[in-house]
Amino acid sequence: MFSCRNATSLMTDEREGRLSGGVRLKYRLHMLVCGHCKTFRRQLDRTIAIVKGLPRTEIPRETEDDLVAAFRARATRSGARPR
Amino acid sequence: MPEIEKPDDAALCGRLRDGDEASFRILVKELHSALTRVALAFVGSQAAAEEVVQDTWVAVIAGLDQFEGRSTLRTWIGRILVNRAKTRGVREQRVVPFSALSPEDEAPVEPERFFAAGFWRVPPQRWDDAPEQLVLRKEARTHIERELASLPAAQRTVVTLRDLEGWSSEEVCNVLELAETNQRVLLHRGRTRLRAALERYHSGEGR
Repeated sequence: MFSCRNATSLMTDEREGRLSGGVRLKYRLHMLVCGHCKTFRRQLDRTIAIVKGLPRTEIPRETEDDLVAAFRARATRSGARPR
Repeated sequence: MPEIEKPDDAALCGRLRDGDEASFRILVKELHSALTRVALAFVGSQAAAEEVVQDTWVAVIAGLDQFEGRSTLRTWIGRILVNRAKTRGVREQRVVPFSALSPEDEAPVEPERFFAAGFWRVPPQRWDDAPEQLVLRKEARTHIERELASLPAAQRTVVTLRDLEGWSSEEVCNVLELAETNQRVLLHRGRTRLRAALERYHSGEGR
């Protein structure tokens, strides 16, 4: 019997398209009838959306300029025309 | 989609070899966040992670001519970073993450929330249909950010690269030398933990 434990453990596999035909069918049937698992799935989606919106770490301006200077030095050495 | 990225990568790499500073600046800005977070999985502090990232860029600049385009550019850069971060982590006598899945990487939902037959005993609490106030949403974000930081290193890194930085599973597997299945286990476990944290938050426990 395909249980809620099965369904909740497969939700990332399902999103990634990694469920085989038979399991995918059982998963989908379960999701049609199980309100709790539907809630769980919706919450997982919401969680992923929130993570997507989290701030990324910005590079400090000083570090960025140092790296660009190192990059420029290479270009000069290798004879590339700096642009 | 790697099929689309590869030609772009070749063009970008050409510009970098020609010394195009604007392209380099964009690349550095684009990858800084991801690289720092990957480095943090291996080394003991933010400062050490930033050093590893800077060393990596120096190596990338020196090795631009060696990039052959067999992987995406960011996979190539990521590999350089991981090798350096690993060496540094070993020197700091830290345990290398990703070497094996730990027990805490299993069972995405607490087993006691299911009956023996595997059906919900303590079903998920509804919070996702609550009207979202701006203030609450900001609080929830802060909360989830904290929870993400406290995930085990392997889960944290995979969730960050996939869901925050938008890397493909192929890139994550190549950079972290993970089997695709293990990558998925870590991703799912990390995501479900964050979901559980939001559930606690909405039920008032986590505030």
